[in-house]
Amino acid sequence: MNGSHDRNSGLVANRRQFLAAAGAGLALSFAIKGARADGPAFTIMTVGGTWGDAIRKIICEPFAAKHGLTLAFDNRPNAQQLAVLQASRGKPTIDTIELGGPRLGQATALGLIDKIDPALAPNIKRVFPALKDEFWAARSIAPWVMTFDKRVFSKEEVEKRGWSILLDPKVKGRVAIPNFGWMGEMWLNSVNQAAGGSYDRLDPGFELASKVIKENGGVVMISNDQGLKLFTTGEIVAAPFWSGRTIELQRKNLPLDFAFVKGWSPYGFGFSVVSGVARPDLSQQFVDFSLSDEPQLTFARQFAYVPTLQDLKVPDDMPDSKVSAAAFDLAANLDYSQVARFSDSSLERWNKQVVG
Amino acid sequence: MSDNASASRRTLWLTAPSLLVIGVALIAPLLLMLVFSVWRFVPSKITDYTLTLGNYWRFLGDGFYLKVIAQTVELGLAVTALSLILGYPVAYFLARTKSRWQPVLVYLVFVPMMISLVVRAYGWMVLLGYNGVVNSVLLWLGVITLPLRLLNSVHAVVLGLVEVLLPFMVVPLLAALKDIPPSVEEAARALGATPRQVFLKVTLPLSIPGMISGSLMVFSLAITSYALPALLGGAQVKMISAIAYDAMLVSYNWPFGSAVGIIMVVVSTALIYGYLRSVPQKAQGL
Amino acid sequence: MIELDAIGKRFGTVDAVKSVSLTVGEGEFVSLLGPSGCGKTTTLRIIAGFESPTSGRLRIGGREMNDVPVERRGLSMVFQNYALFPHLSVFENVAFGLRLKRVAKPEIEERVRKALDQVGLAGLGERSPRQLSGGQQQRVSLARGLVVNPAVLLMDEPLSNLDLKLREQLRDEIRTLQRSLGMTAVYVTHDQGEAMAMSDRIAVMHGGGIEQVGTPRDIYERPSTTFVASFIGHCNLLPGTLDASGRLFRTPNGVHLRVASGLPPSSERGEIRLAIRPETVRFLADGYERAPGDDNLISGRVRDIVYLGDVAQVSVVIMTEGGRVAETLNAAWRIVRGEATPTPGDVVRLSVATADCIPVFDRGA
Repeated sequence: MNGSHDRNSGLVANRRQFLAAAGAGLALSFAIKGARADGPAFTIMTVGGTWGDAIRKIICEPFAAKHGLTLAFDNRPNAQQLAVLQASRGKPTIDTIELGGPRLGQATALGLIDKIDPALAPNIKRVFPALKDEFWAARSIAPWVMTFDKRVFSKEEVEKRGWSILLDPKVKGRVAIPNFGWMGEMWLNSVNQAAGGSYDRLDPGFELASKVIKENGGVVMISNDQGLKLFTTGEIVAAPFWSGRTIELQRKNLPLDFAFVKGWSPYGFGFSVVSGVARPDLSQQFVDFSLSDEPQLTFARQFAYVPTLQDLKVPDDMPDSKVSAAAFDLAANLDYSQVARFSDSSLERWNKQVVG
Repeated sequence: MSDNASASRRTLWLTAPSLLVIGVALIAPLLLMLVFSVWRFVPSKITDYTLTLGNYWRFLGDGFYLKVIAQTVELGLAVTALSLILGYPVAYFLARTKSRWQPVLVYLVFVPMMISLVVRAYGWMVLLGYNGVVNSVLLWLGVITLPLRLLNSVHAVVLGLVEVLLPFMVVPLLAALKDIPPSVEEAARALGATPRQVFLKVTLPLSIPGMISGSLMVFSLAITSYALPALLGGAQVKMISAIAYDAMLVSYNWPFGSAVGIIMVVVSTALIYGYLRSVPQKAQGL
Repeated sequence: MIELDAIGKRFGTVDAVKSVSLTVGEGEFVSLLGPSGCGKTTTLRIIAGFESPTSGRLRIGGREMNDVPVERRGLSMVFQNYALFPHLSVFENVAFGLRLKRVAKPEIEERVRKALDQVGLAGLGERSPRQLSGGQQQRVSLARGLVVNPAVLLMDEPLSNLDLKLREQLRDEIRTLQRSLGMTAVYVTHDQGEAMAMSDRIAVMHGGGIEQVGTPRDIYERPSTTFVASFIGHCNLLPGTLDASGRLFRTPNGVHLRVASGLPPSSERGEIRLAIRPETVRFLADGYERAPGDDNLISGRVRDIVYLGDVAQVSVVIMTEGGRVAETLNAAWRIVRGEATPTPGDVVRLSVATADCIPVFDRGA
């Protein structure tokens, strides 16, 4: 249930709703100020819903109890989060924000987040090197893999043919890919890397995406919800999707399975320190706590996601939260600040060549 | 005279606060957008504050974006025309019914507006989905053998927008029709007009102001809508608001997003102006 | 020309019109007069065809009309609020009915011009109705109604939105036009002066029914019901009873008056009153012990006097022969310049002709 899935839940439909949203934003900012009256509240920005609730229970409340803090939450769709940070630049109202994917790259490029200090957040040293940089470390990963209908393909076949099964004529009209503004930008870059392209040369990625849509009648998914619906109704039988969500669908007795194909994405999410906060040390400690064993395991158990600490032993009763070393060898390894540099031109090209 | 002057001064003072709020809330963001639209985009920091018209050229010099604008306008016109065709009989009935339930019926027109747009979009998805009501019925009737892909199409978007925007058409029409004194229609009857002739020669022309304000509202709301086209049309129905949204919140190209916004304002203003010009002055002022 | 035969109209549980029968002759001008809510407008709208009667029959020009739609009844209607078409010019408003009848263009030009001439609006054809005054708008409405040569012209309080001077001027013009065109007209009004001045006959309506139909003079001089007597002009209405002969009226306080004949004593007609118009009461000079001829003689004391310009209204408390104080009677004293009027406390002698003492009854509603 990563937040990027909810891209469309709070969108602005027209001017009336825009004003309503602005009003709600205003009300929210007052609410946060109000909380500060009793002492400076520690403000955490994530998406809302079950995801936000889990973060509150598993990470925020234990952390607040330990430090005697008042908490405040700014829950809003991912799309709006960076706009809020950008608008309150220099005097941020948010202490820490959960990021991942291209948005992390944007935040880094725009200087909205600070480096993580290993002295204050020693747990960062334990995270797999591929899942962290100076500004951020994944506290959990959600594998973005190839999900397929077992009646149409075998797992071996999918593992062998990879993303190209999306072009198979026998599933014509029954495949999908994620839209750019949702998980599409990440997926495009992963596919591209696996096919030998680079951040500034995305032709291999675009070629596949465009063929899936134009030649094989693919649907463009704009949200997690839509993806779930398409698989549930049987309208699609193969698409890039979350492993965790696929497991959820399997439990509903849908004949689905997933495979770690070449160029799958270990999509990571984790907290960062917002640049310019009044209590940077506290934010660093929060990041450290979010990376520690107990929250990672609790989270992984609840959502079937994968912990990120190299030395953490994942219990055997949590097979869904383990990824083999062999599978990790096939994963794409993206530098999101590089991806973000080309967001603008990639988006235009996507609009013209893939969905246009 | 002096009484008049002081009265108008008083009016000014009384209206000043709301004018100020409206000015700040509506004009300021527009000005901000105008400023952003002439700054150069730099990927890592949004803009370096260099003045440029490049954002506009990028849009206006590209057939793709022009096509999106054209599609958006076309969709807006379709939604407006359908709302008018469907809304007029409803408004006419509500204006003329002598039922004591009339206020309740008018209220019912507003009820959908109290339900979240997203919820209503999901309602349409249930109806039009792959295993949705419509497909199930068609399959059961044997009209089709495989479900049709009704969602993620322009038709679904038009249908959804008409449903959502219908009250904006019905309400001004209802007001215009209620404004017509019954005696005017009766006078025409007495002069030999059949009910049909009364409608065509009296009622219809006299309801033009309602048709104008209704269609202006529906049209501008339709071409600026975002959430509903996204939910019912998916990514493949591209409207201009989606281009602006993506630029603002996906690629963080605020200058380009602002330019798209300004172009939207200019295009819709021009269309509305042209529309008003094409309607006789006399009919508007009724 | 128009025959209403026991027409009734029920809205829900309310009888708006109760068994109204009325005949309007060819070229006749008949007013429906009454207070608001008396059913006069509903009756007019039934004639027009905007309402269908719940009972009774309507004939126009001998033809059964109950099921004929408005547009085929061949009549025109003028409304209180003018009801002009705001989107059409004055010319097009007037031409509306002709265009519907597919009259040839040159003929339309000619007839509209003539109609506008008739109502004194020559040359204003290109104006918009909104540029005209209320009086001018009602003239347009009149021209619009007349130009189609309707068999019947129906008017629903056409003058009540106008000021007094204009009202008097227009009522004369309407009357003149109607006479010269020989058009049958039914006119609804609550203004008795208007009805008196314009009508050949007046139907006074009250509580959904017709109280009395007659010429303005009949209605005024020989009211048949308490309502008609009180609604039109000023009238004394004394309580009392008629004796068995129907010629002698007795008030509770013992005043005896001889009355006009014609009303049979009948208890089923409800309460009887004696109607005496103030201007029929004469003041007798000192020394008259008897009234002239067969007139009633009344003695009394002046209680109050109200100066009204041409006359003074004198309230006189009647004294019976035994010297008892009885009912009050209002009399009109014709003012003559330089002459004194009675003053309160004066004892006066009055006479009223037998023919001016009219027994009226309450129509049991």
